[in-house]
Amino acid sequence: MLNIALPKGRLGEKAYALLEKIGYKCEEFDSGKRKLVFTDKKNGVSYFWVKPSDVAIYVERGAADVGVVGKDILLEQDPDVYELEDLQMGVCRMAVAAKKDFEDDTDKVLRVATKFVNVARGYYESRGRQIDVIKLNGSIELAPILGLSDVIVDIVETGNTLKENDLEVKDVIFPVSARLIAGKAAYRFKNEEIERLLLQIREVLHDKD
Amino acid sequence: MPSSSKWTDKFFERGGDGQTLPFKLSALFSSYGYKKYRMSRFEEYSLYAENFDFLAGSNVITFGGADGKLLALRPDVTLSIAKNTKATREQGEKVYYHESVYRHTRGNLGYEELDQMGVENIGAVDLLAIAEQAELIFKSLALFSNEYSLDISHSGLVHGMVSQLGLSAQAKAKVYECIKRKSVHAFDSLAKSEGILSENAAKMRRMIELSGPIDEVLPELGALIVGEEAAEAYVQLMAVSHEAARMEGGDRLRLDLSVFNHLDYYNGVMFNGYIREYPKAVVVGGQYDKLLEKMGKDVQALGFAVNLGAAPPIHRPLTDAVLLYDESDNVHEVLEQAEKLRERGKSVIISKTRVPAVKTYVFSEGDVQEVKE
Repeated sequence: MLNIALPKGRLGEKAYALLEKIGYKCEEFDSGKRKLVFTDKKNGVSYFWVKPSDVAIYVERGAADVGVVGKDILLEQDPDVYELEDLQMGVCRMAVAAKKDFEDDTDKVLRVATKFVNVARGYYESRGRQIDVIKLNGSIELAPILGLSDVIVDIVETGNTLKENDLEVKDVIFPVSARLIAGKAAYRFKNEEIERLLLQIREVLHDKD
Repeated sequence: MPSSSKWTDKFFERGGDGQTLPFKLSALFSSYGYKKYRMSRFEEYSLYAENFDFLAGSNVITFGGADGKLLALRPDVTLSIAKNTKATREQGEKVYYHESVYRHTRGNLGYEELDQMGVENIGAVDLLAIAEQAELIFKSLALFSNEYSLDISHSGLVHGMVSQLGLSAQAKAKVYECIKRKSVHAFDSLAKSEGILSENAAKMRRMIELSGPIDEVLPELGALIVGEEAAEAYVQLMAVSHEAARMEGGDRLRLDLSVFNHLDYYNGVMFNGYIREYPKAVVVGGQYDKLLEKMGKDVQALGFAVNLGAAPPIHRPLTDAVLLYDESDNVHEVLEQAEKLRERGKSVIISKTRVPAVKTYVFSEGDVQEVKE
């Protein structure tokens, strides 16, 4: 039985569609209901529907064997897991954004609002820039509008939310997409199952290319 | 608040055979001639500051000593042993330890106390020493679980193969990250952006993927080897594989390049041991001559640490009897009745309220009566 942690929401649904296509269908799977665990003994798979930022924790701690998680979360949390494949879905960018007329005054400490504290710190440390990190949990775009921060570090998909709020991308830190991750002990003790899954995913991705 | 391992308290209970796991490991290490090594909980911070990379990024918990020196709660045992060893190549030292190590948790949200045992063999390291250490790890893992595996890699193999790619230090670091994460997709992107020759990239890519029983993986690995350093490492792995094949548990030896410790310190075989019941490595170790070299000591060293927090919970037996009393009862008589039960070999807890126990007795008029459910 392979235990798979999927992120709640659109990305999880897309990931499930891919897994269903390659034979990991779960008859009782229904992302719209409140049930959190779905098992299909016939196909040897059990899905856990978890908060996106918790997927890596479930896998790292062995509650799930594999999981689907965004690269943004992997770089923020740095979990001790294997990152086996880029699933080429949930594609977006981790970016620095600010008001269109913002000009960086390097004489001042830069105020950065973000959910991704470690990513922001790492990025600005690599540039030798002193920052004041303001940790927010949502509506990050509001921070520069209200003068709470100078810039934001956040994921940008289409850029429409930024545009609507008179903000724009100033720098792209790294591209983001969903990754298939595996726990280290699971990779050893369920190696055949995980390798089979990986091979089938790669075949689908290869066909797409 | 310290967040000690969830199993630590149960772990020290006596198991069915009357021995604790640390006791069994101590006996095992002693039977190979390792002597118990004791040390202080504190070290001067400078030891860790000078060897920060060896700690794999663990944040050290520091505090000021009375004389103004900055002290640290020990985050690692090997560094202290390496600093203090008097071993020479001719006169080696074999020590084992059972100590707590202290580290900040990830994200610096708190700190954790880890219960660790381990062995260090300092002096001269040859094939026999490596094979003996592999045997010791197999036996240690078998004490944790019936389902275990020991993964091996070699710093010379990883370093040698990556050096052949002709990359900058920054790009090399990225390749190491791909190896650690088993991320061939990330390596493919890197190979493209760094212009790595396709033949070399294909070999490196396959090495990242390789993982399995050593006797199955070695032949394929042999065809991928490029350069003298990797070839020497390969020969050593072949020899270890050959010896392991004759050991109890030797069929659990796997080869996987993602077993990876810091290459500035490790210069030979590297080990990670896993059990099915625990999500991370239970045993971590390898040959680390370079650490001793950095400390100005011309000796070789081989060791491994065992994470005791990975021990499975031992079934905690219920207390045999609870003896219920109330305030009107005669204290002396209640104690006397409890003692009578103990004399019959029972464990007894005296309580005013019911607590979980095999049997419940109530004290009544100088005697006890069993309460049926």
